[in-house]
Amino acid sequence: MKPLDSKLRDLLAGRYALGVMQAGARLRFEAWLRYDPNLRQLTQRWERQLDGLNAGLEPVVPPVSVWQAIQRRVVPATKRNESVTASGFSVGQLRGWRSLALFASLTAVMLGGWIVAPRDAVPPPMNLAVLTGASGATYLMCNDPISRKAAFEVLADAAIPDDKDAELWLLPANGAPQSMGLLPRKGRMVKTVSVEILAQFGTAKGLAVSIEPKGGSPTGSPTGPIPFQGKLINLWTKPASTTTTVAYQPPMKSPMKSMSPPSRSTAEVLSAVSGVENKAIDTLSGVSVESILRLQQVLRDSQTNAGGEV
Amino acid sequence: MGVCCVVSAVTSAYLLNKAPQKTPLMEEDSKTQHIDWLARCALRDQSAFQSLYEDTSSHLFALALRITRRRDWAEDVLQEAFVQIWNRADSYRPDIAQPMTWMGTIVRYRALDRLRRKKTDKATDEFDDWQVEDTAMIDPAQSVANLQTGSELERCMQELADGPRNSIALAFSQGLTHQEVAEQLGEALGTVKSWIRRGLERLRLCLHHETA
Repeated sequence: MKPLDSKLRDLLAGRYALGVMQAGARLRFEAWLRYDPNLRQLTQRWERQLDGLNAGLEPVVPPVSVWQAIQRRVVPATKRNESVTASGFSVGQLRGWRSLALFASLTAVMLGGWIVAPRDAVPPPMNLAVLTGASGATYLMCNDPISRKAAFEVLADAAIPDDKDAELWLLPANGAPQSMGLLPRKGRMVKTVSVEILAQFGTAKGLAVSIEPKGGSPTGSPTGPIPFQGKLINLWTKPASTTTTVAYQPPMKSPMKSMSPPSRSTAEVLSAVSGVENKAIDTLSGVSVESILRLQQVLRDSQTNAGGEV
Repeated sequence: MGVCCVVSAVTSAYLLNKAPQKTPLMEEDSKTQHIDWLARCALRDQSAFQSLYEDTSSHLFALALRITRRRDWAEDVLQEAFVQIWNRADSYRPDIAQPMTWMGTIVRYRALDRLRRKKTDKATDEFDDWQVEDTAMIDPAQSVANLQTGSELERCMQELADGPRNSIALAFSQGLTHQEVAEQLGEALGTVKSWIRRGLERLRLCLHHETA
């Protein structure tokens, strides 16, 4: 499509959001939207503004069959029927692992090729944090509390001056910030979290990054500005009633692209997100799930390497 | 015409089907809750998905019904939309759209897809007529009246002349084509086309604070 001036682009976006384009034009426009972020923004603005015309709708409860049909499409059939196999695991639960291959292989590596998991196939716990500054999500952390390995990724340019370093701090529920070491300028890094720091993840106010002289704060407390902060999001397993050992599942091909969602037990675990305030979840949703899964992969890959203690 | 009787029977079936309303959450709480559930859907939490469905499906079903005006189509649309909400929850950004706007937009577009498809399906769909609810056509003035008082959209819609305003309200609320808006308003197709074009131009200037 030819480049259009901004007014025409905006009007086209308006026609799309209003719904008056004919079928062929709609499809072409949607194809265009996929690779034109500016057009997406214009369209989203119209969608937000015209949404007001949806006010005053009287709710109508849909029949139960709709929800059943949706469930059939998002939950694997075997999971819904819960047929238990000889190994004590249902086929559905094993399929659930497919989407959890990262979690699973993470555990598997740690335990030498065997997965020791609660009978209900729950993934290990995970701590997540997204540190946000003026220009949005900047650092992402995934920590595996069992191995105490934490992977960090610099999501956006933090604009740290050349003669300074970015230092990560734990903000405890009470008391002064505690250093967790320096963060890289770009890319990813894996470190080991100390037992003392890890023990406070459940109650901490969150994490923060300060700008310090090269090599980190000379005083043991933040001395420079603190441009990035974020809450800790702790995903914990529910207390397991039974523990089962199952054979290690070989990694699946592109598990994360799989449309089949994890088993319900996974959902239960994720819904057991403990002590998470809505705001924390909000910051998490500013980061794509792919980023989180990618970083977990980094964490898994690093399991055999030693990292610096922080 | 027998159609009308069936239509009113269907309409009253909707009314009877209406569930007792839950105590509505405060708007802000409900928004935060929806964002939370969507984030959990992105993490493949099926119980959060179910909560989201239970809380929003009756509003979104009403939206699908208003556009498709056929119960079977609205059910299909709602199903498609929620599968898409589940699959795309990770792309939802709370800083760009309110959760209900995001989900409502998905429902609207799936409903429009379904409507635009009917042209090609018509030959094979023998029951096309009997489920159509002619009575469900909305009054465009009503949907303008329902706009939140003092909102920017209300102010800008009120600035439009009757023709463009009613055409835009009808096109959006019912997913009508130019031709259908023209039939509904009893106006010539050319007139309605230019009303919608000029209406959008004026809305753009008013809503986006642009200068002509």
